[in-house]
Amino acid sequence: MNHIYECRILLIDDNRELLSMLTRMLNKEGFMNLGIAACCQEARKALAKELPDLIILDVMLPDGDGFSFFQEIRAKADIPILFLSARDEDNDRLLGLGLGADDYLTKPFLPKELILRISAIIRRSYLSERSMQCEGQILNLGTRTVHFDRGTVETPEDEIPLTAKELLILKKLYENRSRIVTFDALCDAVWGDGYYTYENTLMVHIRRLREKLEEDPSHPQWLLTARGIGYRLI
Amino acid sequence: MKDLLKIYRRYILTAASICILMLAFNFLLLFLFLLNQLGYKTGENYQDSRADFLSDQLVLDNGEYTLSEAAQKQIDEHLAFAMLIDQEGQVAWSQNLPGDIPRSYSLTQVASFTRWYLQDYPVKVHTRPDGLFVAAAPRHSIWKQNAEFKENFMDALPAYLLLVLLGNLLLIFTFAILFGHRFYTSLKPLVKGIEQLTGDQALALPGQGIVGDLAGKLNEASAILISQKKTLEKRDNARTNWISGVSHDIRTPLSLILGFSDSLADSPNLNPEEQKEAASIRENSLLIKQLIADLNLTSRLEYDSYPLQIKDYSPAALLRSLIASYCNHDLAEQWSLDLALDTGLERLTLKGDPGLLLRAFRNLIDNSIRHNPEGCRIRIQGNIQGSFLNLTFSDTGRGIPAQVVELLYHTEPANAGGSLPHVMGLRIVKQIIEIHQGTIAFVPSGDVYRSAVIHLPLSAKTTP
Repeated sequence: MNHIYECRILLIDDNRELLSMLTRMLNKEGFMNLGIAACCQEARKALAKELPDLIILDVMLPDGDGFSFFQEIRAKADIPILFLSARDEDNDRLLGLGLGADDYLTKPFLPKELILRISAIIRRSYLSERSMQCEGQILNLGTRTVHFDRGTVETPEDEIPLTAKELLILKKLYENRSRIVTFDALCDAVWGDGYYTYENTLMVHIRRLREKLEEDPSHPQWLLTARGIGYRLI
Repeated sequence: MKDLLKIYRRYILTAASICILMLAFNFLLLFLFLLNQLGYKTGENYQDSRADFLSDQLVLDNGEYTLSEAAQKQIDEHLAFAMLIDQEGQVAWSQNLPGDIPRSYSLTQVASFTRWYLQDYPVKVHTRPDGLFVAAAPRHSIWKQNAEFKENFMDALPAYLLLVLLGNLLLIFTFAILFGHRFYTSLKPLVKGIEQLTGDQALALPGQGIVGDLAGKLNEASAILISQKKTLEKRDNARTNWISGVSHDIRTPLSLILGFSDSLADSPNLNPEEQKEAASIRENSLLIKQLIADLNLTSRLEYDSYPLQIKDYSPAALLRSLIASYCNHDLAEQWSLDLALDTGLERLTLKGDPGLLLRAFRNLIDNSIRHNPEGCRIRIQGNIQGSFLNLTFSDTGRGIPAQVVELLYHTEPANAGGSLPHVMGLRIVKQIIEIHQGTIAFVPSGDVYRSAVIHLPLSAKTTP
């Protein structure tokens, strides 16, 4: 699979109007290989014909419950499954995710949210090797380039090595690029522990990172501080 | 059981005190009686009617015995008769002597009555040179008994009395403890029953023993409580299930409304006005979605059917992640979020349901955003005061109307008529904070409330 839109999706829900709406919505977003089933029986037939790349499954079906049907599908093939259910109790959510579902979305839902979740599952399941790993990737920050595979920062004059901790911090910030990553999340990623113990150490690492990444470390352009909350990589 | 031991101790002490008091009372009575008897013996009448006194009053004058008038009066009033027996055993003088009393006595007759009775008349005698003076009290007026004890017994009598007293005290305490223990063991199942009264199982205490009736009543009370509890649970469950069922049934149609309105809002086939209307349907559907979620959560929190996920959490980390999530989800420029935490909070770990707490904090921030569309500055401050963590959520916006706060603290609104403000979001905040054994207070500023202060105990034992 080269693109997420090539993904074959099977929609299973007892409400035909909702199936039709979902089909139109996904078509509009570019997902063209869609199949629908209004009950377990129809879904079994569709699965016997062709295995999809992703299944969107309702929990309450007229001829069986979605959790049991989930196990039936998984016994045959390891297909990513997203539960789309009107049952919003935590127990149902935990049961669905506990069974091994890739996601659980409760109705009513925003169409955009469903599309984002579908895209995320497909990327994670089929395109992860290429898009998720930092290794082999290059991060350009103005005149400087970070080589994650080599663990270095290339400046116009030199190539500066990053320490293991600096690399971990930078990877965490890169994974959440443009988003604030809290002190706590950074410490968890690097030390796997609470923030307070490592407050000063984290600040030291950030200062050193800035010295390597920024033209003017006193006025950072790329690695910004969100006061009292954390840091953000632009 | 501590209370029961207290009752047991008190029972023993009370029983022992009562016995000691009774003993003391009896001794007092005995003492008074003896004193009274002594008084009788030393009293005027007794003294006057004593044989030796009367005997002294009887004088031989010119071969004839005469008794003073006072002594004669004494004999008339207090004695049956008096007589003088001469050395030959003949009655030489007498007063009021009944006919059935002999007029002469042998030595053995004298010996037999001197200390006892003369034909059932209790008598007292006084020896004098000319014979024996006999004073007899009326029949059945005096009980006479000869007491005879060994001398060494009488010598040791005080020690014996002390021993008897100590023995009595020992017995009193032994019986008090024994009966107390019996009382304690019979009360024990009763106390256990009272402790288990609030449990889920109906009591079945044995109906025998001194507390049998009480145990029976307790069993009845327990059965009533269980039945009431079941009825309440059934009603609560029915209510929660009804809300949950209705909200479940609304979800799928609402998904369709949301999906279609979202599609229409972006449709190029509609004119801008129609697109705006479709967008309004979408926004209102989202509002209904939020209301359904709130309704479900508030009913489950109220009827304890929310499964709490209690764990250790850092309030500082929780608040940072909250602010970061707002910043990361494109919070529009007109709103700004400030977080100011005392350094003491960094080391603090509390027990609670962080997911629920985040929901409460979100509700407060969302309220500030929703009710101030023109923008405002939202500030969250945290500090530790005594044994409480204080979190203050304030904003520079229009504030919370007093009516909202009033409604929040009264289940029945004071002014039930007319349209009431929507307080479910804040009610959920209050419920969540109370589940964490905390409190929430709103600080007034002019006509409105501008900040909400949450107090969370540092040693919270969160209960569902």
